[in-house]
Amino acid sequence: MKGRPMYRLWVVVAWAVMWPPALAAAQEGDPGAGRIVIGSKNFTENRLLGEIMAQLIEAHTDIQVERRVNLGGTTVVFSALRNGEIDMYSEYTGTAWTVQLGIAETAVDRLRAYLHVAGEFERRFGVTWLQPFGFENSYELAMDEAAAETMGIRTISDLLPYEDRLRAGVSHEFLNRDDGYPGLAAAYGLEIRDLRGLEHGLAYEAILSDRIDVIDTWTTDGKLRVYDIRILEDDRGFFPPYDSAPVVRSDTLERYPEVGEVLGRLAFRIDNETMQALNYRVEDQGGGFDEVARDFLVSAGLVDDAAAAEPAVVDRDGGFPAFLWSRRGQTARLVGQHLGLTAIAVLLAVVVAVPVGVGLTRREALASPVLGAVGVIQTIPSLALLAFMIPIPLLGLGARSAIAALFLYALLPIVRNTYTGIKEVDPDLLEAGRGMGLDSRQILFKLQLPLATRTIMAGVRTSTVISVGVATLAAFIGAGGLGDPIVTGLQLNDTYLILSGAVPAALLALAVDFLLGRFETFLVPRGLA
Amino acid sequence: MIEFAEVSKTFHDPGSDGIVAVDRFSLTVAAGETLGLIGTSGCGKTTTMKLVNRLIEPTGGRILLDGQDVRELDVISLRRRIGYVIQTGGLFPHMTVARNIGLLCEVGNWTAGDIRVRVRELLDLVNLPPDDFADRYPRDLSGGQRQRVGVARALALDPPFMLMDEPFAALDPISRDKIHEEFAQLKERVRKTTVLVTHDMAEAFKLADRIALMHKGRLVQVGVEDDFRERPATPFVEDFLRSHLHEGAADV
Repeated sequence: MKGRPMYRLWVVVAWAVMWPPALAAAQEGDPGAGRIVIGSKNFTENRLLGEIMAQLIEAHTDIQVERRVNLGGTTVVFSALRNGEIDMYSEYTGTAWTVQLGIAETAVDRLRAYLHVAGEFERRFGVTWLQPFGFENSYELAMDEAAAETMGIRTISDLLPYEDRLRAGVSHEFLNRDDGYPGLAAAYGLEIRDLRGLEHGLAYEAILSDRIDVIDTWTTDGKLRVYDIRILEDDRGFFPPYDSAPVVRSDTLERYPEVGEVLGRLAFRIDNETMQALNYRVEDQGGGFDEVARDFLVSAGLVDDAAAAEPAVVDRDGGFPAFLWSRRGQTARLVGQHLGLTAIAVLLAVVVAVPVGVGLTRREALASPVLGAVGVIQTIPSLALLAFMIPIPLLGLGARSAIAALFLYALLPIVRNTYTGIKEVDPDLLEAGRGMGLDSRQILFKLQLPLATRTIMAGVRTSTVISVGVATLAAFIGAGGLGDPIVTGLQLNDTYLILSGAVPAALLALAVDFLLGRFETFLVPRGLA
Repeated sequence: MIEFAEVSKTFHDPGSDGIVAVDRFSLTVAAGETLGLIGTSGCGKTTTMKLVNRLIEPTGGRILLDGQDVRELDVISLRRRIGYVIQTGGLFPHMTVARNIGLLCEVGNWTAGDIRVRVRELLDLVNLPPDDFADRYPRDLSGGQRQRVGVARALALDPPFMLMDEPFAALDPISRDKIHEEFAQLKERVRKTTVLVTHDMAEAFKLADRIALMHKGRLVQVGVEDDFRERPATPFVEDFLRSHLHEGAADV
């Protein structure tokens, strides 16, 4: 926080000079109604900032705001922004510097980082960086306070003598980003032998129960208020600065200049302490995102108290069953979404995969390449497959991408079982059919498909159960479903919330399998039962 | 009338010179006649039969059905003129007896009522009480009952020709004797030009009007029972008669 007033002044000046059109437009802002979409990454702070921006815009304009929260990591949310699936989210200068712009050199001061990133985004992506919120959320390495004291570790360099003994558990994004572990390791010559990827929501518990020694964290992490954690000093200045600011599609700002003006009111209004306190309220005090965001905006004088609505009542004191019961309405809606995604995907898969399976029995030469190809799809990690769908035209963020990914997963069991089921039909029966004068269509529909029903249905059941499971990941690309409370619960380290998604998802898988079993009994011709 | 004219079939396996299954086979089956086609396994009798309904295409010669070369006819309508019965009955396990029998009527777009009437007629014809059997599934039938249903199914469209591939071979001797008798009676009521493939000489004598004995793809002797008993054409015919007349069920 050195030299902060100067930095702040320069940002304001530079912004005014570099984006006069945006500012000018802002003054003559046409308050016509419209609709914008605000996205967020899948962690508390980013989601909370999204909610703050959303409420501010709702309070001061007539624009309708749609929230697309928890959109996977940086890659997912940024490709959504470039596609126009979302209009804005909040980004960090250091992230933009290393991830989107791919700059390897990380020693840069805050102002230069901000100006460079803002200029490049405008030029290369048509995306505008508004003025920063004011806080800086840097990556850090951290250890248990007592353990660090015993080993005499204060800086990252102090880890070097212990690199063979220490166990590190870092978030997956940190594990792979150039401004994360790979760059850090290179800059310090650090090679921690026992290094693994770990969901950040679980990291503190892991350190507390002495499963790991070193974790990654960030300046404004709310949990730093609860756990006795020592932040290790970045003594070689490896981490770039991470100022957070709204990033907005420039065409959105042109269309709704008032958005730039309204969000400008957030500039330098959230400092490190405030951000950490807000994160803490959401993660450890059970505050809802909307409630915490509104309280902040009211206390900062950015919106009127009167606009505030009543927060939803959730029962956390009566144990899990009571909690689940208090969320029954939401859960029912999520189950509906979940079933919708799964059902559409599996139905489409049946419509495509059964004819393909039949086709393969008639063109044997294609069977192994095609089965191989749909098999390969199944080896793609679910989250990656979901992310691949986003840039595809007509898919984008949300249900359509999720359905496309689930559909691709569902293909293999149905294609394979259709092919096998038809191949397994007794050749004597087929010859009897041909010999009596059935044509190939009649043989297919009167003999092969009915006789293969059981095998084909087994494939459909497998696909459906897989889809119900994979659909929990659809929440990462904004498609909703029972993954929503799981993802949010992981962020908040809220076991009840995780279970309120996981338990219904598991029950749903069992129920669907049972119902399909009944349906199979109904479908399989009686003479075969 | 079915005419075989110098019909040959050579199977070409990759890497071999080809196996001659049927070798210049010539024979005429008269209208309404039942021809017993007999021989040891692998002699080419089943192949010869399947050339008629083009489940197998010949590599030489011609087969004429009432004067028309089978290869010039549409294969589907050809097969619907030829009833086809195979050893295990070939009943479709997912269909009831009634649906098995009525399947060709069903795909021929008969009305449900017409199909029901026809199925009852056919079940009566093969001595299976319709009320008892129409709604059963093949797995609930004995071997003999399955063969009766198989025959009824082959007769559904009242085809002028029948091909029967060892239809009674898998039955126990008692059922077989009974069904032989029924079949002999049935044959008198519905005159079909029939090729009956069998390896059982006694069956052939009982059911066929004339018998053709094949060996290694060739026709060895054609005639009635007396011709074979009194004037065997070759030593092979004598041997065959001796070993195949009193075998009962101890074969296959």
